[in-house]
Parts: sequence; C-alpha cells; structure tokens
Amino acid sequence: MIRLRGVHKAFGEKAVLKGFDLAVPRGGTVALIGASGAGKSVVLKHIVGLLAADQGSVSVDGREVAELDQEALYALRRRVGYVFQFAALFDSMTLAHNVEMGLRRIPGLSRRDIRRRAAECLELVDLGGLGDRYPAEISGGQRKRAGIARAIATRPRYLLYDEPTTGLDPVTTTVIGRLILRLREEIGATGLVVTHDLGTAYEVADSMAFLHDGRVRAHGAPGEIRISADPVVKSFIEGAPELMETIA
Amino acid sequence: MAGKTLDFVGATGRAALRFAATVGEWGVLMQDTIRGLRAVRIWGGLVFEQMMRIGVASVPIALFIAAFTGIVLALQASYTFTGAVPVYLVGSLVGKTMIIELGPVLTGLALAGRVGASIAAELGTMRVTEQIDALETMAYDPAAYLVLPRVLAGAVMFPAVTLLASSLGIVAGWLTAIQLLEMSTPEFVRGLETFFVPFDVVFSVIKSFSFGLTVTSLGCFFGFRTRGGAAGVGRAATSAVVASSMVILVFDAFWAAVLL
Amino acid sequence: MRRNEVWVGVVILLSVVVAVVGSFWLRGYRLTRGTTTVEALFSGVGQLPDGASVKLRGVTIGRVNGIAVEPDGTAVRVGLAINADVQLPADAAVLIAPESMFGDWGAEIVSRSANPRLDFFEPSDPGVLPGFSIPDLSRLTATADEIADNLATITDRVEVAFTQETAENLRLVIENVGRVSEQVAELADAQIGAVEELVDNVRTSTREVEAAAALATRTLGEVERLLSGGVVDSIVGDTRVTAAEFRRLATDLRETTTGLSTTLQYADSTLVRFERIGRELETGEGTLAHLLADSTVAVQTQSVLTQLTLLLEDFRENPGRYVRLSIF
Repeated sequence: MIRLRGVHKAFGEKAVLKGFDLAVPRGGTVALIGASGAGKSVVLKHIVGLLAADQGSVSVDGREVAELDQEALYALRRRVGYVFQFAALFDSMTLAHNVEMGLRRIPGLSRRDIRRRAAECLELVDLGGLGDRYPAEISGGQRKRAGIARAIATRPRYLLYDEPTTGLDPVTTTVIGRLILRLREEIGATGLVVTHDLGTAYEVADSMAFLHDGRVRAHGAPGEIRISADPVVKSFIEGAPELMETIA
Repeated sequence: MAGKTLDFVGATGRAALRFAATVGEWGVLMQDTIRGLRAVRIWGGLVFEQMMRIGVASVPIALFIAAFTGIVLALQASYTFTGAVPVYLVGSLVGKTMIIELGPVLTGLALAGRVGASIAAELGTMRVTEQIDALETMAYDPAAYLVLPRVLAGAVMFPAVTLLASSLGIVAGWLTAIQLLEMSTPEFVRGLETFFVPFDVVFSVIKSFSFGLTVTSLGCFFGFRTRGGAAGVGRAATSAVVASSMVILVFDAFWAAVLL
Repeated sequence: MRRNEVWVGVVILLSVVVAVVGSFWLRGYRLTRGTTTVEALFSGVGQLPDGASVKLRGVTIGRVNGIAVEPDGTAVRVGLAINADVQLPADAAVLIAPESMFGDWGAEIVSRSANPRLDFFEPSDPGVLPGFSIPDLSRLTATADEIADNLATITDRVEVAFTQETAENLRLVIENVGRVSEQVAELADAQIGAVEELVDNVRTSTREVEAAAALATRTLGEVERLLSGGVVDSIVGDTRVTAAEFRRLATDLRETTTGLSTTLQYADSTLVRFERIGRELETGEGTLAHLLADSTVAVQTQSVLTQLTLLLEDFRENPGRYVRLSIF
C-alpha cells in the first residue's frame, strides 16, 4: 500500500503540503480531489520519488521512498505506472515506441515480447491500429489513452493518474473513466486518481480524499463526501465560491 | 545614499551567490551524467543519432564559416604584409590562425548557436511537458538517457567538425592566395610549413573537445532547469547560447595560457 | 539508424585523415620518397626547432627529426631525416643558421673541407656528423666585447711600450671602427626601410670592419714587437675617441631600432670597458711587467680577431643569417 504521513513540502516561500496524510490500500482506488493548484500532482510526484518531502514520511509497500538507493527506486518506479496530466508522450517517438520504453527497462524481455506487449497495451486502450502514429498526429483523448497504455505496459501494481480527464469533452471523459475501471479489473492495479473532475471521481473511486490548504480536509466514501456538511468541501462540490466566504 | 550603496552591494552579493549556485547545479548534473556512464544499455543506442544531429548536420555551416574566414585571412594578411615582410607569410598566417584559433573558436561559436539552442529548446520542451518526469517514472535516468548521448556526441563531433572546417579554411586561403594575390602554390605551402608544428592540431582538438563539452552540457543544463512553458523554453535556449559563447571564449583564453 | 552511422563515420574518419595526413604533409613527409636518418653533434643549436628543414646546396632534402642534449650535457645530438636517394659529401658536416630574417632556423649539410675555419664540434663516433651553429648578431657583438676586453688588458700593460708609430696605427684602427659604427647606425636606419638596402649596407660595413680588424691585427703584431723595446706616449686621447664613437654607435642603434636590444646591451658594455681603459691609462695603472708575466693575452687577442674576421666574412656572404626579426 501507499502511505503518506505528515508530509510537508514547500517550493521556496510557498508551502504546498502542510502535514498531508493519505493511505491507499491494496486493490482500492482512491480519488484525490481538490482545487487546481492545491498540490494534488505534488502528492503523486512524492510517491515515485520525483520530489522529496521536506518533512514526513512517504512509503510504498512499507518501504520509505526517500531512503531507497537508485536501483531500488527504479524497481519501485517499475511497480508504479504514472499517467501524466498532458500524457507527456515522447513526441519524437511513435505511440508503440512510447509504450515500449518502459518495457525495455525490464531485464529478460525479448524484442518480440516487448513489441507484443506494447501492442496489447494499445489494444487495451482501444488504440490498436495507431501504434505507428506520432503523438502530434492524434487527438487529445487518444493521447491520454496512449499515456495510460504506456503506464500500464509494465503491469504495475499501482497506477497514479494525474488529471486523467482534464481538457476532454464529456464523452471522452466518460470513456476514460470507464477505461480506468476496466483496467482495475483487468490488471488489478491499485489506483490513485488525482482530479478536480467530480464525475470521474465518483465513477472510479471507492474512497475519496479532499485536499485543501496542504492537508486532507475530508476523507470517505464518495457518498459521504457528496453529502459533507463541511462548508469548504461543500463549496468545492457544489461549485459555489460564496460558501467559502462564509467560513473566512 | 548609504542605503543605495548597500542595495548595490547586496545585489552584487546576491548575483554572485546565484551564479555560484548555478555552477553548482551544473556540477551536480555533470556528476549525474558521469555516473550515468555505467548505464550503457540506456544511452548506448542513442549516441549515433546525436552525433548525426550535433555533428554531421553542423558540417555545412561550419564549412561555410571556415571557407569565408580563410578567404578573409588571406586577403587581410596580404593587405597587412607590405614592404619588407615576405609574401609567403600569408600562408603561415592563414594556416596558424585557422588551426589554432579561428577554426575551433568560430566553429564552437556557430555550433553554440545551432546545437546549444536546439538542445536547450528540445530538453526544455520535454521538461515543461513532463516528458523528463515521465522518463524518470519509467526508470530511465534522464542524465544517462538525455544528457550523456549529447555530451558524448559533442565531445567527439566538435573536434571532427573543427578539423574539417580548419582544413577547408586553409584550402580557401590557398585558393585566394593563388587566384587573387598572385602568390604561387609553393610559396603558400612554404609559409604553411614554416611555422607549422603538429602540436597545433592537438591543441585544436583539445580546444574543440572542451567546446563540445561546454555547448552540449550547458544546452542540457539550461534545458533541464526550464520553468514556465513556451517563454521558459525560449529563455533556456537564449541562456544556453549566451553562456556557451562566454564559456567558449574563456576556455579559449584558458587553453592559450595553459598550453602555449 | 544505419544511415546515421555511416554519416557519422564518414565525418569522423574524414577529419582524422585530414588531420593526420595534413600534419605529416606539412612536416615535409611525402609518401613518394624513403628517408634515412643521420645524426650530428653540436655544442649548441641556437633556435633550431624540431622539424626544421635540412638543405644541401640550397635544396631542401629533409627535416630535423629529434633534438636532444647528450646525457653528459656536453653536446646536442640532432637527428636529420633526409631523402635516402641523396648522396652526401664524403666529409659532410652540418651548419645551423637562421634561414631568413623571420626566426626560422634551418640546417645545411656542407662539405667540411670547404669551411676549414669553422669550429665544428668533433664527435668521437665517426658515424655522427660534426656540427657547427653559426652565431647570430648578438654573439658577434659578444665576440667584439671579448676583443675589447683583451685590448683593454693589453693597452693597460703596454702604456709605456708604445712608439709614436704604433699609437698612430692604433688611432687609425680606432677611426676605422668609428666609421664602421656610423655605418652600422645607418644600416640600422636602412633596415627599417627595406631589406635590400640593408643587405648592401651590411656588405659595405662589414668590409670596413674587416679592414679595421686586419689593421688591428697588424697593430697588435707591432705591439708584440715593441714589448721588449722603448717607451711610448700614452694613448689616452685615442682611447677616448674610441669610447665616444662607441657611445654614438650605441645611441644611434637605440634610436633607430627596436628589435636589437640584445645588441645594444653588448655595445653598452663594450663602451664601459673602453672607458675603463681610458681611466686606467690616465691614472697610470698597470705595468709592462703585468703583460710580460702573462703573454698569452696577446695571443688570445689575436685568435679572437681571427674569429672576428671569419665571422665578418660569413656576415658579408650571408647577411640574412645575422639579422633576425621575430613576428610570431
């Protein structure tokens, strides 16, 4: 499981996380919601060691991320698939090549295995025939799916989604949401979905955490969050800024 | 008044500290890059492509610059050498200057613009679109995957391109001498031979090797630390070119002081 | 990817070939001819660089290949890579001299019998050629300095042994030297103008210096003859003239040239010595007994004068060897 305890992180003067706690149990899917710029992506980057906490503990499968040497950190990253907000596909490579990148770092896989598994992953996200395309030649939704295909290629134990539906039309958003659910069934990965899109969050998560002011303000099943009485949570969920003013 | 003076002193100190910190960050990136040498599997297959992009593709511009430099050197040398100075010294001046100074430095500066900017812009774009983060999450060491192939390619290809450029510069100087200056080929060759020592070529290679490391490592460095979208990418490219050019000139003086 | 590799390979290989072949070519190695290496020993090699040209009768036949001081420090061993198909003279020897006025020194293979008076280094190994490094202008003036020194000693000791005739001869010598010094000054002027003129002037001047030196030689013979004879007048006045002339030589040189600072230093020190002679003559120091106790001085002076004459001959024939400009 992924566990963050009392994590503090500041960029220069600006404190983003101020004692952040979160646990993602094996097999579950947690949605981390919150306003744009609240530091949701920062949380994900701590989990794979792209960022180091100023204070507090981040552990995956019981091992402290900050204490891992490079080999162990790479081993961890192979167990964690990361879906970036704008897909972050390598634009100098075809989609198939993008998906193969992670597989090439796995020892003992033959060239043919790599190619076969990359094709399977693209198939899984319904991009079967597009392996030869370059990222610039496909649509935004297809890019997102290609990013997901790349993240799942190594059959990770954990999947981290950074804003998987941002900037997509409602239909594509639903498609992505269903894809996330399907992937959980097919590869059984534990998921952490960072999003400010409540629809997706309700659809895919079995529990939700609301990030506000560097801390988890509310945590619970989607149903609980939806009816939360906390004015801050309520203001976010109902999209009503005036509720925020009442607590200020 | 005193307050303003203090402001100035403070600003100077701050700038110095920021400069030192930048140099330190560059040092860390270089350290990571050297450590990345072990991961041959990651960078091994990428070096040739970078050699192509950094070296082979730069050959035309380097040759173009060198050819005209050779012509100008020959013309200006003959213009300067009047009266008692024998004309064959035009050959000496063209050869010596092309090999030990203008070949390496002009190639270095041209490639600082061409290669340095393109590396900084490419890696800068990868940084702001999280492609570098993506590499890391796929267990690729970005220093080994992105920096190392470029730095190695620069270290190998800059000297190669420089040698070709210097040679063409001399040939251009020779053609100018015999076509426009009424010199004979043996005269020009005598001048070339008279002051030539093989160490000049070694010196040229050492210089351009250091320029290659400079341009590629600074290009990667400024690309890596890009922040803030398209404007940031532009700033990174500019910084890479400016810093590379300055460091090239500093290295130029340094090698002349140390090795000559 | 395959195409990349080919192109990269082409660029790298081409640059290496250009650098290596170009370097060898510029060092004078041509593929068509084989070379053989001969060695020569010198007491010193002046400014000869490794790779300098080796000539025979004015034709370049090879390159200097390796310059090293002998382990015992008494000589310099120089390797000469020369075309294998060139036949060297039976009594070959090697001369080192500046090739032009621009500091590029070269070696020339000569027949030793054609240069009997040059002081070649004598190698013990018969397979190694004897070598001689032609002194440049500064060494010429150093020799003149030595002559002046010896003259000082002699005049110091023979102040009472001069006849009027000897004094007259000496005065002539000194006047000649004075004239030469003026011409050297003009020569220095001319050097700034044009090389051609310089060479002509040098020729004229050196003839004068030669005549003066010959006269000085005769005078010294006279001095020797007179050593057992009577007492003569002081030559104080004449020596003062000499001193003044040398002073002017030095000043003129300083004013007219910038590149001959070493020469100036020697001229200055010569001047100081002449002045000392004058002072010593005036105060009546030194006696005939000094000279009689050390008659080798006069002999030394004679041999130095002979050397000077030799140098002047060479100077006249090869003025380019003695005047040096360095622009790099």
